[in-house]
Amino acid sequence: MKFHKKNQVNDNAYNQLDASSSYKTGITLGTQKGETSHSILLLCLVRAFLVFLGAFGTVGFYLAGFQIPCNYFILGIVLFLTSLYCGLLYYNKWTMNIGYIILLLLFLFPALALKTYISSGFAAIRNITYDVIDEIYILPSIRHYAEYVPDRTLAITICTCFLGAFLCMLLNCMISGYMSFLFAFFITFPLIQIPLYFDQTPGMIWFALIAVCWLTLLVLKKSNAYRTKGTAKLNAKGLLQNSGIAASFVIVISLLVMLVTPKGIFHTPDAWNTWKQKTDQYIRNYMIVGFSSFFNKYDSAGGISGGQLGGISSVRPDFETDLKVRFTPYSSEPLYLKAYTGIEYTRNQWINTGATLKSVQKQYNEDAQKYYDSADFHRDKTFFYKEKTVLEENKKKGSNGLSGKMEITNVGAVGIYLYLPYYPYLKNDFQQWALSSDILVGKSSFNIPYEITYFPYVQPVHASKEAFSAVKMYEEENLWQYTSVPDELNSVLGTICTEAGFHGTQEEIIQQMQNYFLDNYKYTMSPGLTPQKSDAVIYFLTKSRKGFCVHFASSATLLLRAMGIPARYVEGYTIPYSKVLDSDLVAGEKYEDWFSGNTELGKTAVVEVDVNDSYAHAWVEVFQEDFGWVPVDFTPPGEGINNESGSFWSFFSSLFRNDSSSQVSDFDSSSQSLTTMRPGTKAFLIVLIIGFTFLPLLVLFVKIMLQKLHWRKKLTEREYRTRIMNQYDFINHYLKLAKFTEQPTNLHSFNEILLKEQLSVPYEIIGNWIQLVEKVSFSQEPLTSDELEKCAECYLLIQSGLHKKLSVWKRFYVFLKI
Amino acid sequence: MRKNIFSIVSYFLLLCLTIILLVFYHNYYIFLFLVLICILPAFSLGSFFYTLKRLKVYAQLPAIKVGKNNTVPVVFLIENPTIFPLLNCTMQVSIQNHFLTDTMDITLNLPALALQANTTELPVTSKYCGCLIITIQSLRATDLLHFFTLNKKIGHKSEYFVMPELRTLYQDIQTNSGIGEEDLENFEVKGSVSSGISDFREYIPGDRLQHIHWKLSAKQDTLIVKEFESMSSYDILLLLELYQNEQNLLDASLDLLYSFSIQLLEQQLSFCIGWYSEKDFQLTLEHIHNAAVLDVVIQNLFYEQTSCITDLTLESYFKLDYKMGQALYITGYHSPSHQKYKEIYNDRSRVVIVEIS
Repeated sequence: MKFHKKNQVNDNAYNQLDASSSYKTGITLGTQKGETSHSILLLCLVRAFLVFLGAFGTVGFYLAGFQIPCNYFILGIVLFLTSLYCGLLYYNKWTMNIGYIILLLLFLFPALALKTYISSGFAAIRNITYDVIDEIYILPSIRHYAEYVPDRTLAITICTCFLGAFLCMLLNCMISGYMSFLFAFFITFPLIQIPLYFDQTPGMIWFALIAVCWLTLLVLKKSNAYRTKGTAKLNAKGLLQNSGIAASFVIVISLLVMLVTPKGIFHTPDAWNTWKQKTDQYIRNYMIVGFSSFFNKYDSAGGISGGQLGGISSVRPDFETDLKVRFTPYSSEPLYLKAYTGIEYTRNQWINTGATLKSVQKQYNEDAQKYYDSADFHRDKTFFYKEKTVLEENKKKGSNGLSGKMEITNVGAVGIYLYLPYYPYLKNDFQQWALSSDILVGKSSFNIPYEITYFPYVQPVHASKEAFSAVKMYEEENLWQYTSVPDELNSVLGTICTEAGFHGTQEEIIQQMQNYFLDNYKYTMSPGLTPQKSDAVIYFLTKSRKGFCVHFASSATLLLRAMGIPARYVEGYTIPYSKVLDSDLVAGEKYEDWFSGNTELGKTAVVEVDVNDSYAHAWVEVFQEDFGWVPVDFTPPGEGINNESGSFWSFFSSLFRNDSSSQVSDFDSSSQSLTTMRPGTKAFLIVLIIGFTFLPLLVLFVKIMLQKLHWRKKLTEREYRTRIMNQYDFINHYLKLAKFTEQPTNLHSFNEILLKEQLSVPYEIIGNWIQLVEKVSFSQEPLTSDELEKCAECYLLIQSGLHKKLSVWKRFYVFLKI
Repeated sequence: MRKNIFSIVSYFLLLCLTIILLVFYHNYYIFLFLVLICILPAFSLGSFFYTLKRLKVYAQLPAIKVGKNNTVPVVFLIENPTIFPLLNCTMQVSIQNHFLTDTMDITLNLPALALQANTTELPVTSKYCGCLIITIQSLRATDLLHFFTLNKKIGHKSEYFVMPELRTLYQDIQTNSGIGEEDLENFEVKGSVSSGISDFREYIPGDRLQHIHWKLSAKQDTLIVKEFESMSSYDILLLLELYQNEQNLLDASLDLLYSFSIQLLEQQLSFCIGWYSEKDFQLTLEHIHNAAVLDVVIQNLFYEQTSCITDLTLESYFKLDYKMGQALYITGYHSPSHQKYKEIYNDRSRVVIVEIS
């Protein structure tokens, strides 16, 4: 370990000055002694205590902030001992070199032995933290990690001991080595700011520990008392006294401020803080997606991808409200709001009829009457309302029929879709919707609510043959297109179906398929990009085996079709019942005005639900004989608990891993989101890796260049005396770096060293140069132009002589250093 | 100054960062930290002035008289009676041989630890004799946060003497001046050496007219004569030229003077040492009876100033209108005028001139 190399130049300069002054006055000064207390042990102890304050304060601040159960006494003792050990590493070079190896062993062996406890404790810390954050943000999903140890406090204590010990090591490098406030701040603050951000305020004691550490470092850094060389020297007593003053200052002022200002002074809403509002979005994303959410920024498409599969590497919702839905809850099942229907799968995307509201309007010259009078409209309307007709009649005939009213306002969702519940009945409005085949095309104007009557699907269905006739007609005319599979995928899908062993009735196959996905595929919002020229569905089914709702819905649709079951791909929003329960009640509205029929929930209130894009979803519609299209969800719930990926060890490894496999337990499948995003995660990672590789090289290059410039400036100094002395200094450095021999102490020894090295330079040249340097140093007489020329020539020869003596590696080393 | 500005700027940035953090986190602890950050400079400045006012700085010497090339451990002390340490304390110290114009200025780092006197030891070695004056010019201190640096004038002086060293006379003189052994052998005690005015008294018939102090007589309105100290017992006069030449020549001259003196004292001879004083503008003569007196005289001699004019001592000596004994003139300046003086005044005195070159 080398300490404060840059002071060595100054020391040499001082020696030269000293020599010159000594020559004139005849006075020689020895080395200054005893000005400071050289108690290295005391110095190490003071620094160790600062490390302890920083580490214990930081860990305690976090734990107390989130009220995480932990045995603080044991934690304190472990961190104190670790800090003490770390501090004593700087006692001398031996302790430094051997101590770090021992420390590594001391850290690694117990860490491996207690791996389960550490992982469990880490998971517990994350779970508690996420729970607190979930309470604040009311997230659609919250990740939970496996806790293997039943005694949570024990696991957390063991985990924090190791985390704290690691923090001690980091802090020790910065405190004992550099007494750096800045580094210590940047090491500790990221952990402290988490409870601060979520307004989880721990006890004053934890803040006091950290503040004492920070301010003491600030004061000590400025006083230079920690240094072992330089103008101000090592001073253990001074360090101790300054630490005492800083600590007293923090405690006294903090107490005074606490007496004067109430602690609740900042308990105000954060609404005015627009910065925090912006970062909240990132935090929410992180809570759901993980670290990859920071790397994968894209423009949100309001939650609907329009059937796009390719190029999506991860989902990153913006959590802004897309829809406001006012209705009466009638079931604990998720409520589906359909927006897009995919008929045909081709080239990594689902396409439908291709018609838009505008194209239909254009077709009929925007004449609503003409459209409504057209045969196409009548046929399409019959097909579109086929399920509604059955259910409506079912309601009229039986007692289990349901119908309701829903009011939907598009706040931030894509405006080219109309968001409809199952099974809707819309008033004719050619400006808002039209039909293309049985597919509804429409638009939803922003902030203008539209009302829909809907008939929820209830079994058993009792309807007349007339009512089912539309279904039969539809089966005959339209159903063929919902069983088609691209030729190139046929064989693969067939193989999968065979291997999976799907068989039986339609219901049985659906059930088998749902189980198949649940058992063999992993839900993740960051599946990564599909390789070019690969089909997204096939890649998902055969290679990656992980994806989000789009992948599951698309695959299921194609597999069902391969099994001969008519199915189609649907995108929209799902509102989980949990979200409904958290929603606002609408005052002054009667249940009867909004819903009729007996439901499992009984009479409920009218609610208004804010639906954001994290509720965007994709599912499958399966054609049910004698009824029509029924929504079926094939997306499994999140993997939940993954033994390894939630562990302490995988946390660090997953920091920059793209396929973060975010574990979503308790994750309602209906709330899994669908959004589009910009591809490029891998490219970003490559850039990141290259950046990390080349950044140090770049820093090194800049450093070398600056050194070269520094020396160049010194060696080409105009004033010849300074220039020659700088040349002398340069050769001195050269000798030292090349490790020819000991550092020369004066010109005499310098001369001896140069001669001893047997350079390929005549002795005369060396002698002449030394004489001239001596003259410059000690004599007032100016050098003649001849002498100056000779001096420069000799210097160059000596320099090249030294250079030739070095091996290639040493030359390179010297080149890097000066 | 640059360091101070850097400290202030970096601290200001920290302050800005804390304000931004407060705005962002809107947290009480950040507020508390901001308060601490705001008050800390005031605390630093206040404690700095309070402490600086109360600091006492001085130097201590273990000996007053040492030989050449002997190392003297000079102890510097800084007393801080307050509870606030000032770790960035440096003393501007100058060390000067009184004979020389050049001074050695050094900066010593000596932290002022709270409630105690901190000391540092600086070994000082002089290869030239003379009076070494160690002056603590000022104390430069910086506050806790390195915002302010102030100089406190101290002006504390300590001094000690570096005595000349004994030399082997003949060899040295031969080596240095080139004069022959015979010349020195001829340097024997023969006559008396006159000295300076010791007193004034009224004229007694029989007194020499040359001794009348005419100016004083005119003032007193009676004849006053100058009474000269009898030099009958001091037959030898050692004259030293304090010519400001190269230091090693003056130093060799002093060594020679000292060596002659010691030799004469060993022979139990009293003698006089004389030099031209730049302070009194006249020849100073000191009688030496023993080694103790010699030391005192030598130490007094160290306080003299060197002159840039040559031969002042020799000229003053020749101008004295008294019968001289044997005189040895030691100078570090080689000049043909020495022989001229000798020729001019040879009828009245016998002077051996030793030129050290």
